Amino acid sequence: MKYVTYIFIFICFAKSQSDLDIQNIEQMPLHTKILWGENGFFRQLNFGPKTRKGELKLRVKMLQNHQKLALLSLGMLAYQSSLGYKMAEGDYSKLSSHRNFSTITWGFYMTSASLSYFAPPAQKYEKRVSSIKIHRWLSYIHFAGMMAVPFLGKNIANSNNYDKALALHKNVATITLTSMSISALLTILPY
Amino acid sequence: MKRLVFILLISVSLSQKIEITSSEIKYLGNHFLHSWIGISSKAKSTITYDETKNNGRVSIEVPLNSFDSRVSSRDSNMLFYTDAIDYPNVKFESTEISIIKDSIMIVGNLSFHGTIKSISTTASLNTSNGLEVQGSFIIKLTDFNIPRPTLMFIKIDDQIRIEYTFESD
Repeated sequence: MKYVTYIFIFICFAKSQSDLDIQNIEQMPLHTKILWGENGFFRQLNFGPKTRKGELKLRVKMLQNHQKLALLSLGMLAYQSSLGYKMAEGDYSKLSSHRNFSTITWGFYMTSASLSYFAPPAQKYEKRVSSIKIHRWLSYIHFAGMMAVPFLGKNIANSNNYDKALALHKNVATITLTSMSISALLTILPY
Repeated sequence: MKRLVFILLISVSLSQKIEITSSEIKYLGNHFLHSWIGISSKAKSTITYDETKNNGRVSIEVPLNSFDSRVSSRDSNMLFYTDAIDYPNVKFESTEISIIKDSIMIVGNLSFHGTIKSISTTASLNTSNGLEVQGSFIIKLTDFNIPRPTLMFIKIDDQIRIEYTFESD
């Protein structure tokens, strides 16, 4: 009888655990799979919390900090953009501010992006499109933009075609700022 | 002893077990930026009704991971804040039921996040096409020791409205 009770408790426990497996794991984003998948990079290094509960706690903390830093980055990028436009109109007094502020903005942005990309997996994924999914897709655009903008900025001084180099820097920066702004707005949508 | 068995047999034969064919439980959350609804149709329920005594018993259990709010990251956060790994289900057990015309007054214990609270709700009863029971009640997250998640540095409302519908053919 004692063994039957143990087996019953074990089955109940096993059942409740399997019920809380990650739902629709196949929909997990590629970067999360690479880092936190069954044979993910962090799993191989035995890095991170030992329990799923701990992982979820870490995830929530990372995403909350991501949110704060992303808003700061967005504000900084908007300011950078205004400095850039003034320079494009001929006000070169803003050059040192634009150059120095770009490092801080870039640093804040990359820290924020890392907090999101490196966060442990969610408890649930889905196939259908939602505001948060579009938020993630847009992140690939502004992340690529943020990687390119500093090089394109430096390229202006070295380029043989100043106007073309400036237009490229300006356009990529504008796309980056726009996609980041839409991305931020999407987080406040209900669905 | 024989008398006791007889009384039990009589009461069992008079109480009717109602087979629930479909159910829907919704929670309605609110934040100053937006509201949302999480829906589950995976509630397991047992309803018995004793016509002679005009009372019955309701037992409902719903897994937290069955709620769908149409945004998986929000559902995932909900599972974190409600400690769904430790407390995977929400349970309701009635302690008192009374039927007055087309409405049912239900009092019972709601077990959520390891805390049990007494709640009461009045449901409408529709028997025109099978059986349909519909009602709602409000809970407070803080009553169940659940921390309120934040969005844009502002916490969601403490009050969560629960709406339920149970149908039987």
